[in-house]
Amino acid sequence: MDFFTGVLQGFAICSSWSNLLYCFMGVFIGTLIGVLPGIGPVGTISLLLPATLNLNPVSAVIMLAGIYYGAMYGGSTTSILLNIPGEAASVITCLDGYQMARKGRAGAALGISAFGSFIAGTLGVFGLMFLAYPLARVALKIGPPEFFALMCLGLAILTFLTRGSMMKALSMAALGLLLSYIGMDVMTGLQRFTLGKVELLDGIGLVPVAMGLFGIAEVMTNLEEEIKTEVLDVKIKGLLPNREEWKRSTGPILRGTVLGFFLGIPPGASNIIASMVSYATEKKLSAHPERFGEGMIEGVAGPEAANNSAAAGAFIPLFTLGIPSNTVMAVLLGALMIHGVTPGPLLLKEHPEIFWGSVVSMYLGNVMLLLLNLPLIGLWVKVLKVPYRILSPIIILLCIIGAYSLNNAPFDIAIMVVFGLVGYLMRKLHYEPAPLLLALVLGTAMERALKQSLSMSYGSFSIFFTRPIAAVAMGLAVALIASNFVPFLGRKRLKLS
Amino acid sequence: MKIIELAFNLALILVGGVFCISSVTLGLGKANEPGPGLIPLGTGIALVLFSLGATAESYLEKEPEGEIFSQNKRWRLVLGVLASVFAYTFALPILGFLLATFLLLAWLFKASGVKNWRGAFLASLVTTGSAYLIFAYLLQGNFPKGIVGF
Repeated sequence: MDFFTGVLQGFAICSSWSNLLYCFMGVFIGTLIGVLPGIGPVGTISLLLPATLNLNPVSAVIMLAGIYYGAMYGGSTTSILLNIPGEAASVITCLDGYQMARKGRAGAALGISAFGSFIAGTLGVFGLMFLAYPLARVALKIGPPEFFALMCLGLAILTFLTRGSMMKALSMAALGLLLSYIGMDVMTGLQRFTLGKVELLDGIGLVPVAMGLFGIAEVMTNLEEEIKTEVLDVKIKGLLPNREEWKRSTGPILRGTVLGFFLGIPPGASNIIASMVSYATEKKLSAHPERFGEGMIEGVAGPEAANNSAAAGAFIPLFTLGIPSNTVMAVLLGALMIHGVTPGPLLLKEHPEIFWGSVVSMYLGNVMLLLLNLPLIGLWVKVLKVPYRILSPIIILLCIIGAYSLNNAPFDIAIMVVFGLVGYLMRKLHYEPAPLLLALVLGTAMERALKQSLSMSYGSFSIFFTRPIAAVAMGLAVALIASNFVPFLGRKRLKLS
Repeated sequence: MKIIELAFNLALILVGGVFCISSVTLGLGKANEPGPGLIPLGTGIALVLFSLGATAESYLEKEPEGEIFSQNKRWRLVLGVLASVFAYTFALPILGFLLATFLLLAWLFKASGVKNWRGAFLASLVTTGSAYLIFAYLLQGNFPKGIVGF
């Protein structure tokens, strides 16, 4: 299928009323969740995954992808009005967005954030369309050693970029891999580490673990700290930025788009890094860097554009290599596999409708988000005023239903509670949950690729260092992990985190 | 904080150790024909080593020890909430979705700060009813009815 036929097919799929509705539901729920500090896009996708089981795979992916970039949009609202990021990638928007709101420019901050996100999201989707196709063709030529090395690189980048101790991040990645081995052995079908439990034959479910680590643990932390949400009491008017603000924002939006898109592609990197790099770039390029943090619109426009185009870029490794670049993509990978679709180089050949349907739905989703974000700001502000004592039991109930519904098994709720406790302790002790979840998703594929590679090489590990792509990926992975033991690089990493 | 961190790391070491022992009993195979236990054994060893490294790192760092839990003792509330959701997994098949969820939510609302039981029960009734309507009726979810039959 050529490029234009693909785009046309995508539009044909997305123009059906049902898919438009799922796209709308995805971006609406995503924005709502992005607005609420608490559950986050990983938890939301996990929660709604069981609800998509009766849908066809295209509609399911359209809805789940909508939640992802909807959450990217919605996260900025709490950053600007509350100084609390709705999701992690919006942390940087707090710096200047909240200051703009305090100075009575909340409308302009919200407006430029919505427009910047729209422009970047749309351009990011263009990038995804143009890059994914040739990359998938290249990916067809790579074998198990390259896949194993690339997955190692993904885990290494993620552990390198996590905050705090790399030892802790590596131990979480190892724990995630061990948990992924529970169930049937990929090659022999032998039961492993199941403790005789029938419920563990298919392994530990991704959804209960994600719900526990991200949803329940977040609620527990907020319950302990008694968060009080005080929405800035300013009248939100003038959502359209003025000519001067547009002039100052155009450059940061375009730069943020390019930076974000390319920083979103490498497995392990994320939109959090993209927004931070964009902010640092704008500060460096500005004639008044000292005024950053006091309400500079460039500090809102650039990072917001970067985190949205990174969301589009993150789909590239998922669709072309089958490697999730972050935890949201890891959950999406799990969702696709539940629907019987295995992302990877063959996706474009075997399921072009999934790829082109999701890509075109992103265009439409970006338009819907712009229409949603601007007129519905008042509604989002009202949502923000719901007290946490009402919100937290509802979030817990949603997590319970999400964990239960996948297999209709109370056992999965118990798994979620256990990982809720583990996640709560991890937050307290500064262990990052992201490497654990990514390793849990990648574990089975990594084990299969490693075993196939070793069979190919008659047991020699040199296969990972003699094939060019595998050697580069493995070399980078080893270098990233080893960098923790080099004092200078270790300090650089700490500074970055 | 360091005591709790040590306990957490010891738990990780224990998990890694258990996986290593179980892996050996599963069979390791050969390098060119790995058995079901070979790769888990390597990963288990890695978990033990990284956890030992994290423990050593925590003891070597010069930062002053901070309090891990907030001083207001609300961590007890956290444990209470987790225990109640855990108990819910056993109550669900017996009491059914509606009754078990209503009771759990009433407690959660009260524990989260709703001032009186009447308010907690009312909030629970509305939330349970709405959840049932959306997930069981509209999305056709399959929830247990329990001994009460609804």
